[in-house]
Order: sequence, then structure tokens, then C-alpha cells
Amino acid sequence: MADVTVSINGERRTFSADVDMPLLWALRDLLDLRGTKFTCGVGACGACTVLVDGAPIRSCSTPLSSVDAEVTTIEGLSSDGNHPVQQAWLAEQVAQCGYCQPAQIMTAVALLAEHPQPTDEEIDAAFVGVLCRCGTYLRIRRAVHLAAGR
Amino acid sequence: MKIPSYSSPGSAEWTRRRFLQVSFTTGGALLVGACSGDHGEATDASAPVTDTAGATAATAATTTTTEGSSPPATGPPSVSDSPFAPNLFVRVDTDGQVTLTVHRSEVGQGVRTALAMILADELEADWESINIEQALADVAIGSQTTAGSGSITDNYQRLRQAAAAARTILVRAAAAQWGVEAQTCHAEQGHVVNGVTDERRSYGELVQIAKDMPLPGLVELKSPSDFRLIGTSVPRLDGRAIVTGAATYGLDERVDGMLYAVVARCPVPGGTVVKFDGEEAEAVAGVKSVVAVPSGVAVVADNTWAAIRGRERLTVTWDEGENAQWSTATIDAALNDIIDTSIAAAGTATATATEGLSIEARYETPFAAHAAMEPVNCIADVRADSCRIIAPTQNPQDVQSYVSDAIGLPTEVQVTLIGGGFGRRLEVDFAIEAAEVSRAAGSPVQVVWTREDDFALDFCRQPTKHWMRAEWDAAGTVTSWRHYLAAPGLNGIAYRAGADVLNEGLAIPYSIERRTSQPSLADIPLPTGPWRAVMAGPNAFANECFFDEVAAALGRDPYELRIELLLDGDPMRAVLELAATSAGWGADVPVGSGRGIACHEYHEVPVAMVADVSVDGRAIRVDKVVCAIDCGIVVHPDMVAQQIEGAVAFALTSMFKAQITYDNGRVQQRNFGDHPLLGIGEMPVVEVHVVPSDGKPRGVGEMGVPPTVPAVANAIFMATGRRIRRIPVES
Repeated sequence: MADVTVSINGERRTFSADVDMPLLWALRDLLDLRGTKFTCGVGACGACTVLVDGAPIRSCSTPLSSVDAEVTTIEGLSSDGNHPVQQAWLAEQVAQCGYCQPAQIMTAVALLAEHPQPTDEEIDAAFVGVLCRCGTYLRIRRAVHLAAGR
Repeated sequence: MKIPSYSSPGSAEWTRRRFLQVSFTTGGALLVGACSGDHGEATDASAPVTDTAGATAATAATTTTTEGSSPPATGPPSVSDSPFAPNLFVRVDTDGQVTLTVHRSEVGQGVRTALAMILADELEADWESINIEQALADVAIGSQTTAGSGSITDNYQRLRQAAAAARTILVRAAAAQWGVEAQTCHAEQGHVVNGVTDERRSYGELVQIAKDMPLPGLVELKSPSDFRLIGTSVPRLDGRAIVTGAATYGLDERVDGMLYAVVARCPVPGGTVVKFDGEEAEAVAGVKSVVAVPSGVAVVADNTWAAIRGRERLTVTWDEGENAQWSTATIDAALNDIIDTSIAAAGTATATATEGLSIEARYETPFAAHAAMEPVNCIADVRADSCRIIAPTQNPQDVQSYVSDAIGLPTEVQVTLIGGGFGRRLEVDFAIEAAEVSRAAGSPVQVVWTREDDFALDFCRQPTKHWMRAEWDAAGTVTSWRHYLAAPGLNGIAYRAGADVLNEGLAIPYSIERRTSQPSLADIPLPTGPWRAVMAGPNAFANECFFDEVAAALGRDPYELRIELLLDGDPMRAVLELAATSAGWGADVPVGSGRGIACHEYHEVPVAMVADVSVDGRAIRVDKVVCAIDCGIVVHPDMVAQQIEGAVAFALTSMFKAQITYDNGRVQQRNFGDHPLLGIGEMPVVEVHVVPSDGKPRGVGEMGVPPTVPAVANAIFMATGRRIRRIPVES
């Protein structure tokens, strides 16, 4: 156990944890940030996606010891749900159960930062590892285009 | 509007709810019900019933009221801050807050929003300011089992009645206050309006009077032309919470003092603990205790990861039990044996068939996992004299009864938002287990299932083997159709079923002189349970693909032959026609592509699909699925499209991506690496056409599953000449 400090959503958080603990569990069980979800625990489904220095990572497979840059979670996108990607998600009625949608949204945020006007192929490549059992994929693509201003 | 809450209405006033009486006029017209345990049949929604006797009574009451006087005293005086709550679904508090109670589980199908729309519309509530509560398990509210795509069918009428009763009382309350006749007032968006003076009273202002007024005997329902919400695609109530990460699923719930547990279970279902050693597990930082429970050994910790790590250091010796004998090879052999025996017993094939005028084929499907994104989980808080369960359950009343039986304590069950159900959350195993872990640990506990746990002990859709045979005469008329099926039933706790469950979707709707459906139950006691569309998926796969084989053998267009053989009045005809027309059926399909058609009626909802595929070597791509559906009155049009899109994706995973296999009683698939799901790049375009209807509202959640696989399989045949007779398709 050690004192760990991570900057999350613009706030430095210091807490006691084993440095091998995956970031996912620190977020959910120690820091009260439960928007990031547990689904597979092995990096195979993307539900735990958060951004580290703007890039998507699988927090279930990322130990605290390797987190050395700003973490952005779904809670950090906006104070009121008004981030353009969140708004696009609502406009396109993307979500069904919604469990994977924080991960889908974070993936979209990262993609649009790199490719402000992504093609369908670029979208598919970015979202390939972020699974949705409810099958909302068609709407995810539409929402990304909407957020991109197309 | 407020973010929907999941708090329980646990105040004293809540227990003083009055229940509407169920009554009928001598003319046998509308009942005002909705609060006994019955489901309430969905009657013809277009027939409003006028309140005659009730209106007379109200008039009599109001004529004795003068302006400024206190409302007529009827019954015992109520507490001044108690709400107006004429039934279990509608409550108006003295601060004006209108709260609607939803009593079915939100698994992504949109039921929280849809049921709230029905209540709010009939109540004439202001949609933007209502509060939504999820009902605790309570048999008084009616069935809370969210299954069979039946929530709207079961509740459309009774919720409208409940809301209309509340609205009627509110109108009368305002009329009484104004000293006018109720007929001159009307409800509008959370207010009652005086038709003569245009004065308005909000529902909140009427609570004190309304709560002491008698329940109406009869109520008048809105004319559908006055619907404001029903028939529109309002944003999902939980939408904002979902996109901000505030939505609280079962796994996200927390209670004071809660610990986290994972349970080591025998890798062979039904196996038991012989002995275990928890010493190393207990040494892991964060682990609080290691306790035995009937389902295995629980490692209890102050965070989930410590519990998982602790379990890795647990040593358990198992008695694997009877199920260790089962492997996919022995399962297949057992099912084939049943089919072969059935065929031999029927003495068919040889005697009556004329060369070239019959075909036979065998179809098969494997175990199919639910694989919802939220893994199974449950919170239990067992105290000396009570038990509380907080669970992502589709079946809170069975959870309540099974857990209270197991623990021997009165049990409250709170239903959370659910990250995908598909039927897995109908079972009660995880709730009983959580209660036992909490009791053994002496603490509230959240039992978390890892993805490996979820795959290892799912109650999968059962494996099936089908034998099909059709015969026709020299004129090309199909004269005989046989469908023999071998499969296990439902081998769960709350869900146990024998051969009757195999009948789902087994019979074909086509007019063929001799049709034989013969389901045979296989005694394979591995866990099985309801999976989206249950047996209709495998049965429609066999029926609709084999129909295509028959059409091909006859040299007939499979769409034309279906239309010819469906009975005249069958609503499937219109649905097939809509799908075919929308898809451009009959047009040339380019080389390397294929187009297939299939249809299936599930729970009175006919659905037809036309699928387009393209092939490149052995690689198959599903490009597009055009779907037509007739589900009666539609509460939320976009949700119909969402559910069809989702069902297509769900079915395609079972068709191309994954299955569950057994080896020596153990499920072989551990995580998504060996059980992949359909990904975004594999998702076809889906186009949904809804037949306009004013028929009774029916469901959509499961309806898209059965026709998907056969439509795509039939398309693959056109593209490649290859018949798909088992899933998942080997590439």
C-alpha cells in the first residue's frame, strides 16, 4: 500500500492503494467515480475506457503505477452533460441499456480530437474494441458525425 | 426534469394508499382497476368509457359546496402533509411534485420511459417536471417480471386507468374548489383548467382536497387523438444520466458499510466444496474474511480488486458432481440420439416418399450465453430480522420469495438500472447467493461476478437439434412438413420448464396439409434459462431456412411461396409484403451478393426480414437487414427501431461470432477473447418499417431475434449455394 496521487478531471486526488491496483478499481471503489464501468477486466471489451493525456486506455488493465498524466473520465467531460459529444449522443438516441456508453463517448472524444471529421472507416477503427451488446453501433456512428458537425 | 430516482417511497403515508376498486358497469364496460395483483388485459384502447354514475355523485357533492367552505368530509381526516396517492402508480405531494411509479425493469428496452409516458399522458402531467420512482418488489402492484416483451401489453390499459382515475379526482377536486361542475373543467399538463373562467390550479394545489375525495367508479380514457406523449419518440428518461456517467446500475450501487465479495464456484455447475484453505487469501491487503456459502467460497474485502486477488489465492477442493460427464460431444450425441430415435419411431422417409418429391435436413444450434455488458452482481444486507436486496433483476418478486425462503427473513427488493438483461436477470441464483454471503460475512455485501464467472455459470439458451422433412406432390403442392426437435428444457431455479418450452415458435404458420411438430425433451441438467426470444430463435432458424430449401427444391420464389401458403387473414402477409417491397425483393442481386427472406410471429407480433449479404471467398459480410413489424399501437416509435437494430446485432453474434461449449462439465469460454461479440465494423445497416396500427400495443424487445438468422442464412445460400444448417457459421 502506498500514497498514490493521480490527477483526475483536473483535480489532484491522493489516496492509499496498492500501486498494482488497476485504475478502474481505484476510480470505482476508492474515488467514487463509477461512471467508468467494469465488464471484462482483461482489456477485451473497452467498457473501462478513460483518457490519459487525451488518449483512450483500458483502465481495467492499467495499474495505478503507470498512470502518469491527466486522467479524464466521463464525469469530467462537462458539469452538466453539455459536451458536444454528450449532446450528440442524446440527439441521436444512441443508448439502450447505456452501460457501455461512457466508454463509447470517451472513445468518440478522443477520436474527434485527432480526426475532427472522421470517415466511417476511421470511426470503425477507433471503436473496434468497444463492445455494445445492445447493438447501438449504427447510432454511435451517426452521433460521432453529428458531433463532428456533419 | 429531475434525474429519475430509485428511492423507495417508504413513508407512513405510503402504507395508507387506497386502492381502486375493480368494478364493472351492468353494460360490462370498463373496469377501473390496476391495483390488485392481476395483470389487467389490454382491451381495445380506442373505446373510452364515459363516467356516468361517478359524475352524478360528484355533481351531487359539489352542489352543496359553497365558495370558501372546506371540502366535503368523506372518510377519516388525513394527515395534512400526506400526498394524494389514489393508487400505486401516481402520487402528488403537497409540494406539488408529481411522482410516477414504474414497476418493470429497465434493461435498455426503454420500459421506464414508455410506462412513464403512458401514465403521464393519461394523467395530463407535465412531462418536464415529473419524478420517476422504481417500484420495490410488491405483489400488490401486479407482475413485475420483465420478460416476454410483455410490459406494455400487460400494462397499457391498467396504467391508463390508474392515471385516468387520478386525473378524474384532480379535476373533481378543482371543480369542488371552484364550486362548478366537473364537466366544465379539464386537465392540462399538470393543471386543472376552469373551462368557464380560465382559472388554473396546479395538481399540487389540489392535493389537500383530492386526497380525501372518493375514488371514481368509472373513468373516461383519453381519445388517442389527444395523446401528447404516446406515439412520440421522447428522449429516454435515463438518457442524461447515461451520458454523464451518473446512471447507477446494480454494480454501481453502494450502501453504508458495504463490503465487496467474489465467490469461488465449482467450475462444473452443481459441484460442491469438499474443503478449502483461505489463509493466503485472507493475507491479501483489503480482504476481510473468507466464508463458505452453499454456492462456493466467498472472499470478502473492502474493495473489489482485493476480493478478486484474494480469490486467486484461495485453494478449494471440489466434488464436481454429476455434470462433469457432459461435454459438447456427449451433449451432441445425446441430442442426436433422441432425433434418430424419433425418426425411427415415426417410420418415415422410406415408405411414402417418391423419389425427388421430398427433402430432409438437420439443423442445430449450440448453447448461447447472455453476455450482457454489466456482469451479474447483487447487493445483500442481511440483518437479524430483515434482509434487503439491491439488484439488477428482471424478476424482483421471485427474488423476494426465493431469498426470504432461503434466509428465513422478510426481504425487501430494490430494482436497479440494468446493464443488459436478455433473460439472465430473470434468475434468482445470484440474489440467493448474495444473501447467503452477507449473512455469513455479517455485513452488507456486493457480490461481483467477473466476466469469467458470468460465462462459467450462465443459464444459457439450450442447444438444439432439428430434423426437418417436407414432401410435395407432382403438382408442386407441399403435402407434408415435419419438424422434430431435441433439446433440454429450462434448468434453472425460478425458471424450470420441460417440453412445453420447446413449443415456442415450433409450429409453422403455412398452410400445409400434414404438419407434424414433435419436441422431445433431453435430460441434460446443465443450467439453461430464458434467452432473448427463448426457443423461437432456434425454431425459426430451422423452420425458415428449411422453408427456403423447400422453395428452392420446388423452383419457387421463397417470398411468393410464403405469401401463397399463409392463410388469408394472417397479419404476416402484410408484414412480409412491406419487408419485401421495402427491400426491393425480386430485383437482380449482383454476383457475390445474396438476398434472403424470413419471417416469424413472436407473441402475436409478426416480423419479416430481408437480409443482404456479400461474400468474398469464405468471408461473409451482412450488409443490410430490412425489417417490417406489426406491433399494434406504438408508444415510442424510435424504441421499436432501437430494439430491432439491437436484436439483429444480438442474433448475429450467435450466428457468426460465439457459442458456449462444454468440456468435462466446464464451460470452455472464459472471456471475450474466446467469446467475441459483434463489433461496430460488422454491424449491418438496419431499416425498420412499422405497420401503422391501432391494434392493442404489443412488444418489440425480442421480436427481431427469430427472423434474423434465417434471413441471413437464406441470403448466404443465394450468394454461395451453401446452406447454413448450424450456427455459429464456420468461416
